[in-house]
Amino acid sequence: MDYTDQRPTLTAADTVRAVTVPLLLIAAGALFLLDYSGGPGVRKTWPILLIVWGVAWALLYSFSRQEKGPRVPES
Amino acid sequence: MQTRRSLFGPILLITLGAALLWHNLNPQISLLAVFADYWPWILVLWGGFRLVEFAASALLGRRPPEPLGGGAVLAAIFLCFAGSAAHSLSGNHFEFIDWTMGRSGWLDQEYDYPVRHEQAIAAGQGVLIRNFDGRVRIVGSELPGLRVAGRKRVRAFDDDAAARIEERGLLEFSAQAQQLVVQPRPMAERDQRRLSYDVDIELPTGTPLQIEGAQGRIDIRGLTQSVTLHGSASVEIADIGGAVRIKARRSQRIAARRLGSTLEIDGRVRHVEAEELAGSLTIDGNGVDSVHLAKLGQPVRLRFNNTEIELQKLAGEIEISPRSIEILDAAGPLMLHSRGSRGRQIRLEKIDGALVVDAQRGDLLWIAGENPAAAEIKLERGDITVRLDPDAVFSVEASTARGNASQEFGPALQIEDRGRAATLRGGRDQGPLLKLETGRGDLKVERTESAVSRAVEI
Repeated sequence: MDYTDQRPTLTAADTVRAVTVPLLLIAAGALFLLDYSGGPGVRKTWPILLIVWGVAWALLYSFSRQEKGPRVPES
Repeated sequence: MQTRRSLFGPILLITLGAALLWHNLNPQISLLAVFADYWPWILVLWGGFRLVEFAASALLGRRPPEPLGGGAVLAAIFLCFAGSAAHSLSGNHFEFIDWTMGRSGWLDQEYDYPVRHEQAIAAGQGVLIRNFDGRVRIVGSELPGLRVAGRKRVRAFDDDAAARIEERGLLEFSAQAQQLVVQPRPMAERDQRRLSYDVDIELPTGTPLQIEGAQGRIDIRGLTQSVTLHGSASVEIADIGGAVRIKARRSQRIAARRLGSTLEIDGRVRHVEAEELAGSLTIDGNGVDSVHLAKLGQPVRLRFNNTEIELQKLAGEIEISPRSIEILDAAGPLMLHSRGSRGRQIRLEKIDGALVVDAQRGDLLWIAGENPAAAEIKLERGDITVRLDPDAVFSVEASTARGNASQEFGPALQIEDRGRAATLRGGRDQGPLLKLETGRGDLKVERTESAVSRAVEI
């Protein structure tokens, strides 16, 4: 029998990929709740969603590059 | 790496079933109203649940749930639309998407509250009325102070919400720099939109009045001092002794009658009426659909929608619509400048004094009568017709680049046809010169009696 560890290995890029949409959902919900409670309106604050998405995308790009390693020039 | 499905879907289904069951057992509670206010929590809980699931699977070494894909994103967007629609339709003003198109909520009711206040005014103190929405009638009276009486109307979903808004919108009186300021307490815009007034305000006749941020409809009458108004309200103003200045933001109608001094209107307003003004009138606006003016004793200067009119006095009337300009019984010099691709029919009658017209499109009829003054009329495109009494004294220099010329004064006037163009020259006893020019259109110099007989025949 194979007794090696079967636990799934999660990379940083997997983590970012998995949490991006949930974070966007939370941010969107928070913006609507802020609007309904008398704070700044969604019409003004919606670009925050773009910023969250952009940060997640940048992290994903950065972690993916790290996991692939540096490029080796072909000989 | 193998993944597993999230538990959020089943939990949401169970919650929905429980909510519907709760509603069936308590039908007096509106699920729509609850959803309308609390739906963003679904997004927050959905995202939070996914994060917890992911963290738990990472800590416990289990397979993580499938990442949310395009279907989930579409479902979230649909939820945002449905939630914001429900929020708007249940009576909340919500600017992200205004599903109500500016109307009040479907589930709203109207609640009325009485308003009655009295406030002393110091000698020489003016009154500033600020941020009123609704119908306000302001009347000068012999009272020593200011009196507000009427009712306040609140649109709200239920009694509690109405009472809350009513309490927030209490009237405030404060003294600022020689002015008594009357205004509802500052409140959130969404509450402000639900509150309107229907009140009579009486103040001493000699009080200078200033109004700011007005919406709805305002009637002002019986004051001897100046009135200044900024806002988007429709305004009816009459019997005012001092100067009146109105800066309209998007007013439907401004009507002024029997003013003892000047009237200045600028900004965006659709319909303007002014009658019996002792002072000058200036309109510098845009978006104007119609103008009715009558009996103005001092110079008139109108400038709006590519149209400019200046004259010295108006004993008769001026009617302006999107398709026509009519001026009857005015003292000049009269200057009329009209641009715009749609063109306007122009009719001038009983103009006493010099006349200068420069218009782009549209026909012009000038009933000059017995004693025409010097005139310079230039159209880019349109017929020019001048009607004169048979014994009128005048000379004429007229040309059309493309059209015909005709006249009813016999050999005193000569017509010369030059292919498509034509000229008309001549005169009687060196009278005032009528200079007529059109780029494309006919020229007619007619006798008034002929025009009358033609009309009778028709």
